[in-house]
Amino acid sequence: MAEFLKLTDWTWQLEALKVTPSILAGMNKDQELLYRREGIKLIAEIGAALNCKPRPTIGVAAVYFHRFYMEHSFQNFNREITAISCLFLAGKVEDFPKKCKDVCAAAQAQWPEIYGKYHHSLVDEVMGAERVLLHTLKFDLQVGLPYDALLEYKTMFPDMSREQITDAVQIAWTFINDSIYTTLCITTEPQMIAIALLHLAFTVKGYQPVQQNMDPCWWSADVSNWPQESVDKACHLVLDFYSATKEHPVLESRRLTTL
Amino acid sequence: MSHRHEHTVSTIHVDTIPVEIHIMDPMLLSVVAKCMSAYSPADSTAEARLLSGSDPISDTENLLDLAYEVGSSDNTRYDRESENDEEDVGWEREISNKRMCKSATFHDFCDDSEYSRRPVTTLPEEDFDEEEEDEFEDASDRRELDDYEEEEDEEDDEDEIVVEEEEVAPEDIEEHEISHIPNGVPSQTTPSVEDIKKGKKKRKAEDGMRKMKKSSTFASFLNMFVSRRRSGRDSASGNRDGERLMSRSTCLLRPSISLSVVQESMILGSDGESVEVSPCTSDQTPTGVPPRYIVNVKMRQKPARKWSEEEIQKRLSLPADLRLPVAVVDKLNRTPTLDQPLTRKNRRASLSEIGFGKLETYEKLEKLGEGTYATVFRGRSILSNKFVALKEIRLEQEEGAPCTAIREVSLLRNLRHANVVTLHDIIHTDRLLTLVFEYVDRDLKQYMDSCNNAMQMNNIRLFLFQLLRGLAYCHQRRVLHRDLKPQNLLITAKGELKLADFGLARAKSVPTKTYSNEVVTLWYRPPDVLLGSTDYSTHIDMWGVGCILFEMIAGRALFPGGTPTEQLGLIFRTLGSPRPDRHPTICERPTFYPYANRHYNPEPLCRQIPRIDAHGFELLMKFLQYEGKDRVSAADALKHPFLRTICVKCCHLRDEQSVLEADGIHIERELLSSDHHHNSRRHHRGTLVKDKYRMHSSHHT
Repeated sequence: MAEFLKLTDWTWQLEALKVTPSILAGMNKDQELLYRREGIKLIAEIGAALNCKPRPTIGVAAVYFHRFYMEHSFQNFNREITAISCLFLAGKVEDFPKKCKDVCAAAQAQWPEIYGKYHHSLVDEVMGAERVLLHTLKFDLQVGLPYDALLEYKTMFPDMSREQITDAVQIAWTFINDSIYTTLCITTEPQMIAIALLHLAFTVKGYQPVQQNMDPCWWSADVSNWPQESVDKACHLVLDFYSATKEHPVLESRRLTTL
Repeated sequence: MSHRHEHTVSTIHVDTIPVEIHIMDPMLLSVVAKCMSAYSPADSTAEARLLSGSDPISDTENLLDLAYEVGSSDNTRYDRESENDEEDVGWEREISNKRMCKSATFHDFCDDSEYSRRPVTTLPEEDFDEEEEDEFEDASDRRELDDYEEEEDEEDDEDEIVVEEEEVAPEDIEEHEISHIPNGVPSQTTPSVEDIKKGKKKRKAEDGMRKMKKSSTFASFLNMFVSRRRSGRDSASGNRDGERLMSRSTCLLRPSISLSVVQESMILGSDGESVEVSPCTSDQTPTGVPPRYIVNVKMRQKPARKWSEEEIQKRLSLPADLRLPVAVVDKLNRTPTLDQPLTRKNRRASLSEIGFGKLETYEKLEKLGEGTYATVFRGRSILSNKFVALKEIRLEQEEGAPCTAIREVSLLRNLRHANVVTLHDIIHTDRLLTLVFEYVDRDLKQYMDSCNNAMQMNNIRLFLFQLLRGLAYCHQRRVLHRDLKPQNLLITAKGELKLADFGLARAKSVPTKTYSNEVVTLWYRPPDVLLGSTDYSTHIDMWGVGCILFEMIAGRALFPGGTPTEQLGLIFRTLGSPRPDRHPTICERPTFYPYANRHYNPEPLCRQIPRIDAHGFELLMKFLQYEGKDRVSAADALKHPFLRTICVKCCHLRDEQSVLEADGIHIERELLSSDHHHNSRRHHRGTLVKDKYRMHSSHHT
């Protein structure tokens, strides 16, 4: 990915999403987003079958997946193999190690239409993909998730009742669970995601947090210089996901789409 | 494009914001209402379905109710986790402290301070899709959303056209780069005209192959990998063309994959990226580079100037003590790398030329030890002629890189501290993962043995201070060590203490219940963990610090138990039985029942270590608390009166500065020494010892 579109090691400017390796190799933007959603869907479903939780294993696997396809194209690397490799690796890193053959068995049981064709070679495929994945991620495997930041914000609003804030945090929690389907995690820091989606939760519930010290927004005390518009845009990314999946539920046909 | 800028302007005006919020609310809700039916658990969240176990929610419900419902079904998990938070008081406090300093949390893992000062604007306004915003602000209906989608499609088409126009360019760069990237082929000069012509023909053939590859599967990719491995790397020259073809699509298969973590000074690239990867990754995605840029690269074939070794070192920010082989200097001069603006990719390529990330760069010497998952060798870097420790980890056929290795690498690569062992390089080959560490010839156990287990009190203070300093740094970054013992604390010739062996450590998040029970070596294991608690936090490391402090003073282990039962018996006999009123979490554990009937009074521990002063004993007892939350934190222990003399001299030091750099801090000579260290001293020929702070320890005599 273009170096100058990087904000940090693993966050990119939004422009970068228009020049991903897949797009440069001939895919269009919508197709790529769909491919990403399908990959994440596989991670989420197979992860759930293995008793993994969105926090941390599935969340971390999803971040690996999104990062991987900022460096490589979908044309060169199958998303179904990358997806389970991400899940397998996230399990190792996050202390929920699953045996590779268990991951593969779960994948084949859950999605026979997709993984059936690999038969017994799936483990080898995952081993090969793990090497590429480790290499691509440069062994930088510690990933911060928005959940931790969200929990910190729970105590930030003394003027709200306990029920109100718990309510809002739980809605935000759900939004975060779903945000893994979007590219939010490669353009936005985890803390920002937490802020944006908590803001969305407040908006949905009609709460208006009291602003202190004349700060323009409630998060200004924590993160200055982050305008309301950017927060709204982050929220829309998640809302867009909901509208996109309303029309075309991810993997509805239980088969991966092809170009 | 033009009205895009209008949007970027007025965001910070305080008075406009409430208005915006006011307007936003109904708008958001309208979109929410539009999208709500999308939120059916069957397609959006497996999580929701899993937790609620409810029927798929019908389209007529609105998102509000739905989000609420999912939220409450999420309740159990969320509440349990928040409970943990409350139990874990020390951690909570740290978190709230952290909030005081802006954005500390998410920059914890960025090692460049430049980035922590970066103003936090992740979403440059003009980047966001304009149309989306419009659609939203008008709070309009579906139709407009459709319009927007159409527009976006058009935009995509444009993008594609751009790519097509310059499609040749990525090929060019790839061809070009391959010529100066070491791939086992002896150094090549810049391609001549003939070569380029051949290259073009080849490229056509390769294009065909590439098109086929688009549809190829991972299986075919792997097959190619396997066949290549079988055919061997030094195959006949006739095969070379074929090999080159292959290596283009499978360049990750080159013998070594490295991160070249190298030296502290060069870890931070100019662009803030901490760790480099060898060129194999970068030329694998030639398409990732914007075409225009590539054309430039192609144009410049000959470097205008000759680079000397010093200039190269400076350009690539290499440590000064690195000796570059003449061949490398020549080679770098033949390639245009150094003349271009130094990007990460260029630097990576150059680093790889120099030899980082290659097994050949390190000469393997004798075996130092063998662990459960790794073998450690002493080695020497050909580049710096310094000793290194090579930790070889066997990769398993079925499971790949072991958990412990992955955790150790991923944690250590983000830890930069004078009291934490430095990871120089990572070499990833087919069968082995080799971690290259700085070499330290002794651990605390050997040090204690060498001075007949009667360390100088000042040295005990100094080691304890450094241990706590390293731990405080790790804990602040949410990393637990989980396996503290004298064997894992390395002592350099200068008297620096370094935490090593993070195989069992992991990043600390809010505790989840799944920590494995068997983590800390028995003697240094806290009673709560011995009783089966998996619910631990940073205080798990602090018990071990107490045991180590006692051992340094007494010259023998405090609780040398052989089995968990014996270990607990030793602890209770020495410190007295836990009392239900004062140690509820210990006494409430079901595993505590067998011990509940036996009653021990505490032994006067200070009699065993008469040379400790009152402050020291007080601190020791703060580490040896039954209740995890009663144990002093590493950061607080640093400020304890026992360590005050050191603390005031060291408070100004940066993380990467050694305590021994502070004025008036030095290691005292131990009274008794064995011959052992006369032998090991030779290993430190290359170590720079500043005269001012020269250590007066045993092996200089």
